[in-house]
Amino acid sequence: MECNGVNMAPEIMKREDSSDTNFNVYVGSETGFLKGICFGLETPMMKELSDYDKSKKPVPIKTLSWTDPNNRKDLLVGLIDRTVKVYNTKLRAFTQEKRVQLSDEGESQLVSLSQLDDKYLVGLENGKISYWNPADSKSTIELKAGNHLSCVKSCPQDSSLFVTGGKENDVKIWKLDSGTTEPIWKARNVPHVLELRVPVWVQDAAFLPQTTDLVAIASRYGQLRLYDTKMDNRNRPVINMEFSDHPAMCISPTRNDRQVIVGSAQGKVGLVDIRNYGKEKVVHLFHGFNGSVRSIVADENTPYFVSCGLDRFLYLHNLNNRSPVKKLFLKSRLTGVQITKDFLAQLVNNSDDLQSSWHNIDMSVLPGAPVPTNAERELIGGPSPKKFRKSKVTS
Amino acid sequence: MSDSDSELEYEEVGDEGEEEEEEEEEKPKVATIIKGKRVLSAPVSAAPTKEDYLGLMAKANKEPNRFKKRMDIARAKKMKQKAKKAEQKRKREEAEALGEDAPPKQVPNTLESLREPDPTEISGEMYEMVDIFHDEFAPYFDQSYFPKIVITSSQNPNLKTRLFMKELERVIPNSEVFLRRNSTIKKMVKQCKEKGYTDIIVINEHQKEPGSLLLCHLPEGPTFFFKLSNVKLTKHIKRDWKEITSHRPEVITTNFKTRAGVMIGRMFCSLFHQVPQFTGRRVVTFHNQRDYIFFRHHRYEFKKNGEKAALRELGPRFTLKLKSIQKGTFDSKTGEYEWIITNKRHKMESSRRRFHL
Repeated sequence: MECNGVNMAPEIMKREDSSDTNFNVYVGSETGFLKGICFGLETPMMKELSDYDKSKKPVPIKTLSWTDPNNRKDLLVGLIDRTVKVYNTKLRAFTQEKRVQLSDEGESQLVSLSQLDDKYLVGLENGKISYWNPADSKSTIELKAGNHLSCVKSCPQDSSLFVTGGKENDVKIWKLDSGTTEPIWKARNVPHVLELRVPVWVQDAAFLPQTTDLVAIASRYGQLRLYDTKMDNRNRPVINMEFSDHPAMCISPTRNDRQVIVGSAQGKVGLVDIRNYGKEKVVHLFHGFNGSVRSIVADENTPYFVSCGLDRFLYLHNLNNRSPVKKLFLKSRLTGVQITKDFLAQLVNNSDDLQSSWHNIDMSVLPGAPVPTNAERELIGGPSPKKFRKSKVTS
Repeated sequence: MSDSDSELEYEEVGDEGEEEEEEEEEKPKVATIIKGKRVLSAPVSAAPTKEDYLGLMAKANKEPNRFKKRMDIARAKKMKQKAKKAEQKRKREEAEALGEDAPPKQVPNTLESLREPDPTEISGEMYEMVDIFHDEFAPYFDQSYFPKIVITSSQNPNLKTRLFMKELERVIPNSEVFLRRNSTIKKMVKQCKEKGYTDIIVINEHQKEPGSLLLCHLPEGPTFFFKLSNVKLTKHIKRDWKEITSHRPEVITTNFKTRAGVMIGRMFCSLFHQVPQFTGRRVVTFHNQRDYIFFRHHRYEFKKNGEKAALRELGPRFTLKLKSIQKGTFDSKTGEYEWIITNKRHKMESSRRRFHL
């Protein structure tokens, strides 16, 4: 480390021997480096997991995903030039590296990458979606989802289902084993008062948890939309909400029932309640973001979510008391984030440290953050402050 | 350190006390002399002190006649200046007399010296440098192209804006001023890319004065938006534009410390040709102080065989304040921002000692 002329940044502790610590957050950056972060230590630790090759120009990481979302051992890293790498978190090394080769070779960039039964679901910017086998470099299924694709997201409930969307490319839902090359469901554009065409740009999409028919999307024109495929409303969104004037960049479901977190291109991150159609509203706006938010991941078991973006910071927020917990400068523009399965366990194990660091670091970094009174209760996942207040009133 | 400082202060306080006593003894004498002879040029024994000033001010404040009051206050203020100079002189002489044993000069605490530590401050770490050296300005620093710049303004610019554009054209080599002619910035970006321009500068007006500056780096951004203030043309600082030669200037960017600051520094450098012509002795400075960026343009001259340098300001001069950094070329509707302060200034400027550049 010293031979590289490394100076220690104040809040980032680098350790020569990191065998005793487990990373609980992995972040991909635009310089192509994968970064491992361990929250829960007295000072959050960050380590670069990729080596720097001077001879090559860095290629940005586009997507991060787990090969098996239930197991979360191997991390699938998709670079923008269609290179696919597999990072094993137990071995702490890249175990595979391959370039996705498709039949008609173009210079189209990689948009999304995920694994389904030993094969990769690859989405390219020119709209080509391929079910690609890395063993023999051949694709078994190839679909055309339209030009300017910006997202391909699988359904956690039914892994063969996935949703696509892009610029002037409205929401389509596909099923891999359906036997056709057509989507099983297509969205219709929202109506205009003067019967003009409303521009479409689906930036990010997500299936709501434990459902196969509810898809929430973030639009580059600032809307948050919810589609219900079982609803008979001529394939139009059941919720069409103006989240902000500027683009909504990413969307993530939370463990709270029918609440999603949306991040925008100017650093507006909000928790939106979409339980009642027509009564959707922004429940809370989170503070501290300086720039565009590229990726948000909310944990299923803990009331925490991590987010990162172009302002080069990784944020950890608490959903229950809506307070910022940690903020870490990671030196390059960040494009994707993933958390491990034992995110909760590691936070609880080090809850004393976490609490101390709340006072030590975060208060200076994030102004106006309320000091949590009972950190353990929130860590285990107590009721939200609002619910608590309500019950008091009724009783 | 703190112990020694406090000792010093005590010493100084003690000295002053002694002096005051002396003055009290002498003062009545002087007063009598003046009264008796009514001579204005009577020898004044000691320099005025702060107490004298306070006394005069108290007296002036009680004065009912406002014209007299004004004159009294002016007189008191003059006395304050005198007292200050006398104190400085006394300290200087004391230090000279003590020689090497003199107490070290005290450095005043300023907002900048007490600046809050920023996590994005550049540490020189390798992975950070990789990010810096592979940004959008890397081709400029590799000398793979030479800058070629378009300067334009909003529609129907006022005289001052037109002159300002013209002066910027003289400062920045290989730049051209164009009239806007109803063209949109997105359209300009497209055309400029085709014609090999590397940067676009757009000066917008506010209340008929140049009010904001947009810098768009081509072909892939980023785009910076600044508030522009205190524009002084060569005319206003009593210089002739003919003094500005066509030599390529040197560029100095100072005090950019954070990641956003470094990015801005690199952006300003990339407006000018990589190789300056030293015979022109022209230098352009972008100095950051408390997040305000000051632009100055000088010609220098070495004197006494290079021991000293003389500066002559050429103009124009102006001040910039960063509002946003957008990734990619100008796109206000669907663009992504790397850093933005618009609409959240009070949240981001939560302390007077926090700076972003």
